[in-house]
Amino acid sequence: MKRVDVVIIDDDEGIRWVLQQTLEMGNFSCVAVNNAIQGINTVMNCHPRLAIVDIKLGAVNGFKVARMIRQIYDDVKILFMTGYKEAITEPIEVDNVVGVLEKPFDVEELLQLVAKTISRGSV
Amino acid sequence: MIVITLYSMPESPGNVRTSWWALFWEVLARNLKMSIATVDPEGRLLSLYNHPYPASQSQKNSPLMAAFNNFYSKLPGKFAHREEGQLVFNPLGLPEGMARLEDGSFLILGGCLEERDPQRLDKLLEKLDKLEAPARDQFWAEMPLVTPEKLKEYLSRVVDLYNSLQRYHSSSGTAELLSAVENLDRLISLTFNPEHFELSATLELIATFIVAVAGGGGAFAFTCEYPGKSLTLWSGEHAHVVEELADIWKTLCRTKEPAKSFADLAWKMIEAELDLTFQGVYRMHNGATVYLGFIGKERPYLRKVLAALVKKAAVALGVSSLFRVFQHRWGLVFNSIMHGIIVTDNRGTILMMNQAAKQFFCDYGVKVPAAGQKITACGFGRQIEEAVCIAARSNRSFMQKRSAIGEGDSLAHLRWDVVPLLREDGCSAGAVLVFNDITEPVKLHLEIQDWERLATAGEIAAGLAHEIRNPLATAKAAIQLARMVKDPPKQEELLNKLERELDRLNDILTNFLNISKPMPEKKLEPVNLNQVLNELLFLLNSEALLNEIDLEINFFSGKPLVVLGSSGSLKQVFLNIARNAIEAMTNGGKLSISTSLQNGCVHVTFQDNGPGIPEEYMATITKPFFTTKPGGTGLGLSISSSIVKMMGGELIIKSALGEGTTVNICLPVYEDKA
Repeated sequence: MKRVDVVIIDDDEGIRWVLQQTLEMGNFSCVAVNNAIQGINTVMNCHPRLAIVDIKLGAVNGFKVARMIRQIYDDVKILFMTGYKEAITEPIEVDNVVGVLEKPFDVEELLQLVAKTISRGSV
Repeated sequence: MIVITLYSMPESPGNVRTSWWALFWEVLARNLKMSIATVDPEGRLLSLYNHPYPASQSQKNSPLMAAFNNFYSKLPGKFAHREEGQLVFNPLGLPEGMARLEDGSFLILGGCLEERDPQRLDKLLEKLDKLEAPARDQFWAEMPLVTPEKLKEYLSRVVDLYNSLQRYHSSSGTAELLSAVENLDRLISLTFNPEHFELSATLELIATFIVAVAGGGGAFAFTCEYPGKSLTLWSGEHAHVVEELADIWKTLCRTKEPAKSFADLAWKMIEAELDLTFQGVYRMHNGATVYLGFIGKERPYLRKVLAALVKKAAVALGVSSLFRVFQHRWGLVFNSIMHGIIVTDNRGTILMMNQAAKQFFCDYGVKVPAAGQKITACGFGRQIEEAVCIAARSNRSFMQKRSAIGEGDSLAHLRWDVVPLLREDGCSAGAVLVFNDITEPVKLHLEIQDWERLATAGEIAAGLAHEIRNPLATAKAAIQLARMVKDPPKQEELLNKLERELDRLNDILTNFLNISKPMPEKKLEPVNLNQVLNELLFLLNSEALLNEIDLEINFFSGKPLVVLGSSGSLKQVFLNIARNAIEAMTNGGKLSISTSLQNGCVHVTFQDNGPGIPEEYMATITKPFFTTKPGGTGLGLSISSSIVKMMGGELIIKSALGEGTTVNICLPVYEDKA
């Protein structure tokens, strides 16, 4: 499969759609999936530069997904997303994490962050 | 107790009806706790001791006394048509045994409550009201309960005793005397039971019997149970002498063997100074002494009578101390129990309460209600008071109840039981209230509940934040994007998205509100469960087909399964649970839905052979916002559970990993009472 810039892993259909719209507007290629297993598979196949991972993902949380991604490719950057930052109790001990995106987010800030991350990664 | 003895002394010779006979009847009545009347063959009342009603001169013309006089005067006429020992009923509706005595007069004994009649009290109180009886509550309180058989036994003992005494007086024979003693002995034995027995009454009867045998004079019974504790009784004449003797006895009681020195002193005092004979015998029993004595004219065989009677008196003493030991021991046990215990009679009057009950009142700064006060004096509230009254009058029990009583600082939570105080025949003689102050545990429990509520509120807040911020984030991004794009169709698409997300926000809030307030719009109505499920089958069948699920239906086909609920909400519940099962079986499987009727409950069971639920999720599975499903809100089971609870039912989830999950909804069957 063709390499993409960003893989989005979020169980919320609205979020996936709006992130795709945003990233496409910023001319980033992206794929969005709705659960952890599909997320891992897609990362493996598409080797993205960035994975945007929702922390609350049902049975397998976003931290686990990030650790698994790290095991597959150590150059994939991770951007976590959460609707409730106060609930993050475990320290984020994953390499390559570029930040935690709080919902609701600002489209331009997101685009800047993605651009920065991807360009830095490509250097 | 006031005793007015009504008796007349006929002048006719040979009829021994002197004042000591009246005394004899009075003492006998008090001993048996029954009324005793004697009536001459013409229907004139010779003597009457009306237990427990104090008959005074002022009451002689009362409706009650008039009714009694009328009753007695008609007895001889009635008796001609009756068999010996048959029962008659007095103006209060109470059974009386009637017998003809050897001297031609009639004896009427009884007036006690019929033990086997559960309505006895109501009947009695009704009659008492009709006859304008003063102090009506005194009546039942002091009346023994007897069966007709027992009453007849008492009657025949009393008749035997009277007749044998009469025979002795006309013949003065030794055989007649011994027969009289024997008959007294048998009568006294009847009273040896814990409910009846009173040592003083028995000793008084013995002393009275001595006077009756001697045909006059005075008799006394002194006892000395423990050093310093003595009981003094006398009957008959020479009261002042006996009082002096009693003083001597009380002094001597402190010595080791009071009886010996007492005999010397008494003999000297009486025979030397009063020109009367004195005879006395004593007997010791388990360290207690009883002394029977007679003052009067010398009689033959009197010493033998005294010797025989003192044995009986000693036995009575033994019985008394046995009951006292029993009471003492039982009292220790009673007061050692940590639960409060209050015993009432069948009118709700407090008979006794243990230490724990007294402590309860002290703890709350309330005056301890005294024995004799009504249960309402405890301030336990209507629920407990009614339970006590019901248990006291029927044989209904109230188990494991809870009440909150008082208010403010003196608010107390009680866990209590009320059981009837049952007699051998199964009738209730009162009630026993056992209570436990659970105020502290209840307060603690409420505190814990508050904490849990806060913790749940926290969880809900977290879930709510998460659920709301998704559509919020989408909406905000959609707005920002709409500003950024110049292409009108794209803008239109983003605005549509924005609208959908706002709708979603509203849905989440609606669902959330439904958890705390399910079905606010609908009233509960009878719903046929099979019908509700049948209406869903079309939908479920297509979902099952799409997900390669084998749907098995097994509905109860007996009578219609009707519950009180709302069909719309029930559909929501069933659909939620069925969808959960279908969605859990990602690789196909079987879902069986069945209904059944068990123990007055309708059961709707959803059984799948999906992956099952891990144990760590079981406790939180019905809490709001718990979900493992991608895109799930975590509200489905939570709402379902509260809907079922609202309808008085229960939602039970059982699951085994790798085997599947069973969800059982049980709802109480609706019985149409109209």
